[in-house]
Amino acid sequence: METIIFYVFAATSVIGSLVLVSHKNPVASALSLVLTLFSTAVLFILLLAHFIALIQVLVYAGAIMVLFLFTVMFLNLRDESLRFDAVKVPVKLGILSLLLLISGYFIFIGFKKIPPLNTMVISHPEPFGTVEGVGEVLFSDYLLPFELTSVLIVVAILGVVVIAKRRFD
Amino acid sequence: MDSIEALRSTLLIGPELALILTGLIVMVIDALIKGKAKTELFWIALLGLAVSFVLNLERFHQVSSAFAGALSLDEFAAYFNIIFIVGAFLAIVLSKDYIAKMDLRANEYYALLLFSTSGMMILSSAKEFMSLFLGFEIMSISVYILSGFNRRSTRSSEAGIKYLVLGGFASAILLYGIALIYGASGTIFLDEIAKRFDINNPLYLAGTALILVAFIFKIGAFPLHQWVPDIYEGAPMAVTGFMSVGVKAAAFAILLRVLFEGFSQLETSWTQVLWIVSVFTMTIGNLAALTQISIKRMLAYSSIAHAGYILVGVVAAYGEKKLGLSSVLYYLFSYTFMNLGAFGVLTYLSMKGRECETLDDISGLWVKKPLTAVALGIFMLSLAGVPPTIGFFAKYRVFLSGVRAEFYWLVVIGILNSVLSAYYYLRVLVYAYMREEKVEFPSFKPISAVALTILTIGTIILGIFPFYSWDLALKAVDSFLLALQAR
Repeated sequence: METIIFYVFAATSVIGSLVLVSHKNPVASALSLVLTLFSTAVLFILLLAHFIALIQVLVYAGAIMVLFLFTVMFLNLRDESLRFDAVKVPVKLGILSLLLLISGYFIFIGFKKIPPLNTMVISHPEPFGTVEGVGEVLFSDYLLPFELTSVLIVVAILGVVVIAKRRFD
Repeated sequence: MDSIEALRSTLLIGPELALILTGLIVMVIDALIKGKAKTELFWIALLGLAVSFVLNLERFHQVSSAFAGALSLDEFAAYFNIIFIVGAFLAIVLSKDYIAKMDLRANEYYALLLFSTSGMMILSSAKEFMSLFLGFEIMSISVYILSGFNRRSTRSSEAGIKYLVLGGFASAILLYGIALIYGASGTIFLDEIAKRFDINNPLYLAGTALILVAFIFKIGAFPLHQWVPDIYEGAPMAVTGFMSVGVKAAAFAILLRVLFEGFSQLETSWTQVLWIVSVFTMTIGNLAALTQISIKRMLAYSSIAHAGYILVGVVAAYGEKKLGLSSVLYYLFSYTFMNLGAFGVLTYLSMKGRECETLDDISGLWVKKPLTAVALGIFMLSLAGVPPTIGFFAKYRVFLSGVRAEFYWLVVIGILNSVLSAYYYLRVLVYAYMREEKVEFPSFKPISAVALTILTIGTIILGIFPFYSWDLALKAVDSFLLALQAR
């Protein structure tokens, strides 16, 4: 059962990302990104990483996608500006797939050398990856990173104020 | 970690907290005061930095670790913190008149500079990848915004966007590397990673390589140096000065800590990589600097070249741990004075709404403003490495450690490069001292003048009497190496 679900959603995520890069209409691209993100979220659930799956759907498929669509609509793109040079596409694709093949070969060799998971020293506490598990370590062991995130957000907000404030006041 | 440990740790990170709190205070006061009563919170920002500096000195007496080992508050970090705080302090003092000239929003500027410095300080003491990454991002994002701070200038906005996009890539690569290391070892603490490190597992190799790539981007070394000239040229002058000393020093701090504490088993491999990177960084930086007409762009290429010289020290640490590492620390310390000084003079000479940038903008400086010309001369000679300035002693130590560690070819290439670099530094002086005046120079500004005086005196006095700063570097490296051996 798990294997079937894995293959189905892995396939949809790959299809989604292919449509994303190949489609001419940016709105369609953005929507296919939702498909990819959603399928990846399912894969996270299969890995028992519930928290990441939830965040993936809420933040990426939800909030970030709305932002994407808004930006696309703000830009108000016309058809002509979306058409790209069709002549060079096969050449680019050829170079790209050649590079992918070469790096894929090395990655394949590398993967063979990785020792099987059970021999590697990984010990996870029981609720690892669930909302409960993440919450527990977030407010105890990783208190500092949690607090630092708030500083990072303050910096980001300050940046937005600096950039978006009326130009000359 | 229980609540007592959390409280104890919070009290220990006083220097970082002082900066974050000052940044918040500056933000809040700026938002509360409305209309004409709006003042610049210049002195509050400086006070925060001074408090942080004093609290940081405490770490030279008492080494500790906080948040269950996430931060190592040792002398190594304290030395780097001095570089960041001094750099930020002088950058703020230099910026005050510049902000008025360019009509920028002062308080946000100060707050961002303070946050950025706090990020660097967290970075220099981070021993755990999550805090490390957050420190990295706090520093970087503040600097991205500062680069694009002058919104009237299209070049400044361009620099901000470019830095954001390229820096985002570097952060992503860093994260990918961290993820691979975590996947292989199951931990994000550097000590534990070093214990579990397994050379035969390719995940470690790939992770180390990706993390190294991100750091090479941040220090602006070959082959990821192309962003440096564009962004240094576009960013406001005072910000460029701060970036070139602060961000570079922070990137080197974390490079040393991660490589030596976490990935020391691969030392031979990454030393070889850094050898090649160092040679190309020096050579390409210097060759490109030769042809520049804009002093700002020339200084950007020169900062690439200096990253190459500093990498000689990192490579030399392969054979000569103590001397190599302390020469890196000392170089970054002295670079803060001379490079901030060089950018400081250009900041000082900028006119209302127009930066002092090309060689023509400084021609005839000697006749009109002799003291500024002398300061510029000292900074340029120091950057070129002429004795008795601080730049000479820094270069001497880096190359000496290279010779001791028997990297003769690297040192020869380094010395040839610094001879080459004298040409473009001295050309600035030719324009300043021997040419006719072409543009007007701004009137005397006391606050900027004080900062330039401090930098000039520092460049000379610390050059002739480098003892205290050099001893401090040795002490810092000692504690760093002791901690490495002890585990």
